Amino acid sequence: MPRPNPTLFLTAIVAGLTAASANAKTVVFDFEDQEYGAVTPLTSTVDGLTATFASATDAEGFQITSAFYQTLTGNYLAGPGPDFVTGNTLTISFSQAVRSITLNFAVDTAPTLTLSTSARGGATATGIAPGGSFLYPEGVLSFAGPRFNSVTLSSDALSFAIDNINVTVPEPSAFALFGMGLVAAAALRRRATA
Amino acid sequence: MTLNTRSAAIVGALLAATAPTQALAWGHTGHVMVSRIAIQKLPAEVPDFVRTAQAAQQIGELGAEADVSKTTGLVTSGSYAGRDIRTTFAVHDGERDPGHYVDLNDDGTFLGTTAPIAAVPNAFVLPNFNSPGRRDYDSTLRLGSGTSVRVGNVTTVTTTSFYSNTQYFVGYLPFNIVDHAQQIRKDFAYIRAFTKAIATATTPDEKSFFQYQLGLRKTLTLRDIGYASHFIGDGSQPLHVSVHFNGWGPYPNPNNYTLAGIHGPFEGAYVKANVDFTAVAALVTDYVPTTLTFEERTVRYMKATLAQVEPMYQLPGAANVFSVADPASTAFAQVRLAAASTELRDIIVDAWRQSANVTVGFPLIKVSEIEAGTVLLTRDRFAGD
Repeated sequence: MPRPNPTLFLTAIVAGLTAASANAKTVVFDFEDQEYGAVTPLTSTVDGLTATFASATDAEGFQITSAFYQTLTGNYLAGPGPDFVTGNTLTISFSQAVRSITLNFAVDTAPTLTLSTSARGGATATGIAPGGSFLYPEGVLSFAGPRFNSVTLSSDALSFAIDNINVTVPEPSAFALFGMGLVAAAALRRRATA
Repeated sequence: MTLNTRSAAIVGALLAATAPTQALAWGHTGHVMVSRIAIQKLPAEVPDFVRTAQAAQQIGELGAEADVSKTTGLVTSGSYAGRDIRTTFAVHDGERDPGHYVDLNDDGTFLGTTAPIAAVPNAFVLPNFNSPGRRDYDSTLRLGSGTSVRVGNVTTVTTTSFYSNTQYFVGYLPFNIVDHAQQIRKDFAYIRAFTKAIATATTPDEKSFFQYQLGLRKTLTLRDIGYASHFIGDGSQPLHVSVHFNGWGPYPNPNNYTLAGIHGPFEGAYVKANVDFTAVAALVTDYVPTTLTFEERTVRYMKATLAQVEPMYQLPGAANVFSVADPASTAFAQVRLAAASTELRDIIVDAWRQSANVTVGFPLIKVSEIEAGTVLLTRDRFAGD
């Protein structure tokens, strides 16, 4: 019986992972498709991926606004909504699982923004005042890990704002290649042990 | 250096004809800066809806509103920068313009009078009026001046002398500040009352009614603070509280201070090009509780600004019409802007604190009684006919 070829086995796995990585696509939600003043819940569809933005604690907790921050450009989504309720959380739900998320944020009375995912894990980022024209902290919050379908954002600040939400979506073809890699690896292993 | 009454009136009349920049204020950049910083510096005791970043954005933009909506009383004509700017309709009445400034002599007396600003408001209480304010100030100017120019013989009265002894010439900035501060206090009183009324409403209709009222009042409050912030901002600009409002003018000038028009270049282009936002914010000190009334604190504010008139004329920038940046002039501008933010922040806090002790509705109801639960605010009591 031939011995399993470890190199070939590893190569099959790596090929699958590489293919999956190479074929993942990045989708950006920048709210430029939204009307100024629109309130949550609201949805946006970009490149086949739909994101729903909803406030967990208030029906109109966030609204589309503009022209205040340095890193949040054009339209962005900010709390509070028209009823002035502060301290809301924001949940973003995706129509299919994503692998990573990166977004720009700004906060007011506290510097941090926390993200938790529907899978496990999360991240917290601290904004810093960009200086020059204004003082509120702005920053970038990123998370990558097990695939997730939604994230919830929260802060100790009275309100926060987000923009330029980049999410990484595994392409179906990438899953297929990854699966093929696994099948090939399994076949090799079975042949080696038969 | 106070001129005698008649001389001051004549000088004032001459200055009025050549004072196109008097009613301007900090430029757009300065006003927005003053307002935004003040909101960011509010303590946590002030309601949340005033302290969010969105509130700072809105109030900041409204800080420039009194200038943005200008050309008061004018049907503009002619051209500007080669463009035809003739219009058909005026915007507002020119009566508003003097609300941006007050012409004080160096000793703190109002132009054309011997009445000191320290007397505001009590010295201006006329018989049978129990509410001191701009009405009585204007009446005092008209009655107390030494000139005889009144309605009189129309053929001998010029336009400038016609109003040279009125609030419309001397300016009424301190009364404007007090008036707007009082409105903020009233807004907060309604916030308190409606919040309690929602909690004590006995029917869904009653609760909905007050929820709407509360939302509307919050919108009005942000607007009122924003608009008020313009005039409070004006109050820290030394050239807005002095007879030397755009060059030293025809007054004794032993130090040879500039006669050039430094007003606009200082508060506009110089601030925009040289003042650092974070540096101004760093100069705003924490809120210090006070028992001063709005009237008293405004007098203090005006006097503090007036004391900076001569130091401003001593700046290196004054000699070059603020066309060249220098550290002393920049530092001066930053301190003045920070003084405005501090005053605005403090007025908002005082308004919130004092709002528990005013009345709302009609017939009048004390907010303290509503909050204590001794008087129930109902729809009928609030909107009684």
